[in-house]
Amino acid sequence: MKADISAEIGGLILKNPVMPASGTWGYGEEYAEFYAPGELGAVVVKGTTLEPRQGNKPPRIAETPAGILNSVGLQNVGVEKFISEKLPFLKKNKCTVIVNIAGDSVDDYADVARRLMDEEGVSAVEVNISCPNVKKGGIAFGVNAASASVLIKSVKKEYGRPLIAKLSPNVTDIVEIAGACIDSGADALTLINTVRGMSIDINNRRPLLPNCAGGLSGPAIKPIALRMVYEVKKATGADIIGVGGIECFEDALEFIMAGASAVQVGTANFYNPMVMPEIIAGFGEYLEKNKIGSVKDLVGVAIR
Amino acid sequence: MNFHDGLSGEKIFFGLSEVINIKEIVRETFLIEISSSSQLAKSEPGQFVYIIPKMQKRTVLPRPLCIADADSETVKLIFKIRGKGTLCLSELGKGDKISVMGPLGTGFPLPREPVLLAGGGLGAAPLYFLAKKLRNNKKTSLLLGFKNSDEAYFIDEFKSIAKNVFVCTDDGSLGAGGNVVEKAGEIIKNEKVICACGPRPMLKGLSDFAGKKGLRIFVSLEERMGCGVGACLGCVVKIRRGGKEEYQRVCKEGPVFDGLEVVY
Repeated sequence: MKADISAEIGGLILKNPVMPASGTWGYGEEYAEFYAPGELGAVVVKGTTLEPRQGNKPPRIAETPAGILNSVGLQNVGVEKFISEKLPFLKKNKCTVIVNIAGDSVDDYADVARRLMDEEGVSAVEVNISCPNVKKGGIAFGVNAASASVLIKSVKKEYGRPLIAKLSPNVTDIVEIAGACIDSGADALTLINTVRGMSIDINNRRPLLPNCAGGLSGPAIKPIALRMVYEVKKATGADIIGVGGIECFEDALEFIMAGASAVQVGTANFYNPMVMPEIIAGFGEYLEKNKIGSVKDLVGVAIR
Repeated sequence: MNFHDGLSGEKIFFGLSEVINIKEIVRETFLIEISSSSQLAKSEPGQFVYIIPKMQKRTVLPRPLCIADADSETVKLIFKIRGKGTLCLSELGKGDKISVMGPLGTGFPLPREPVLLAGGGLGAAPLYFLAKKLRNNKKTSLLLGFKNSDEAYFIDEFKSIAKNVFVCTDDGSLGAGGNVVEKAGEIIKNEKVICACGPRPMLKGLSDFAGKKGLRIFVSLEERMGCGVGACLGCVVKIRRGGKEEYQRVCKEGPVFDGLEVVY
């Protein structure tokens, strides 16, 4: 019997549990040179807002030990251009599309969600209540349970397909926020967005990023992400997409065992553009070798 | 980390290359020659390759290196030690295998009209590749600027492929004294186009000069880079076109841009 590497997240069936983290894989076109984007479990596109955004002033990236800080700031083409110019490519390649959505206000998020509900080619939305690099919106909604709850409820009213909330690690108690999102109608959670950090340019005696702080990603944050996935799964039982520092199959497996039903890969794409197909192949090989029927049988097995 | 072999794309090679030669051509500046591929052989001047340093110094990102020459046998890259990643690369030896992605980005056009190639410091390297491709254009002149004679490299190589090679140094220790921007004003005659690579103040100065003189100018820019293929929007530069400003990607639309459109 062939190993079953399919995954299920908030009612969404995926052919495998691997997808890119929003903002690290553009709109799928950029990596099409290396493999067909339809091979992935899903494609999560760049954070999309109602109107186009310019994003932050460069430099936007600083390398740190085993990680990178970024402060891109939601540069994107806006929801209309996404639908007219970017979505057709993903549909043509038979991708399961998850759109990460963001905005300055509750109404902004609701408007983007309503517009995407009209598009059959969009399978789910990932509500970004955790972007650390914009002044308004983003993380402001994700740092307390009450504001997260209001936002998720408003998006849920507009969007009938699976709704995933992407949470920030920059909070006192992530279990509380996770619980509030699930109680307000989120079908699944993505854990975690980047960890706020900083780098100083010692020659110029000021923060290297013009925005001062940025979001840390890469192998440096993997233990933080794993711990949060584990705690939230244990406390809530919610469907979780695990993300943070995954760079090989074994890393992905750790997240599954900690309670994630699927994983996202971000920074590792930058230094190994083949990392996601490698992880997908790794799941198949692991299940066959260990005579395990399905990836689903491994979700949360490490929880004590 | 494991890499797929032979799974690179039609245009972009991604896999292991062998270090054929590496040498320090001037202090802390290295010429590294690596084995080529069908995709790398089609590199264009101004494009770059992404080299992934071994992670012994806890680096994660690849390093963008300019292509100084490329054919079906080898690819020549030049880099200067700037930090941990380039330090790792400088420690490579003959026969080592390194992970390479490229060619990436949009390079220089190949002008048919009289053209001045202006390079500052490390920025001279991609112009060597460009000068070679422009060998049929007899109206190509070169202006190479360095801090001092100790930092100058490739002068004989440039002279072997181009007739008009002007060298200047900030302290006058080699060629004329002065910088590239000052010298460009003195040597330019009937050139219609400038192709330039070097520090940003030099590129700004040359762009201002070209604007005043009504010349076209193409500049090769650097920025801190993430994915190298246009996905992460990490390495942007502000471009003004038709009265509108927008961020464009140094790794995709660039690294070569119309110098008159760059908001420096």
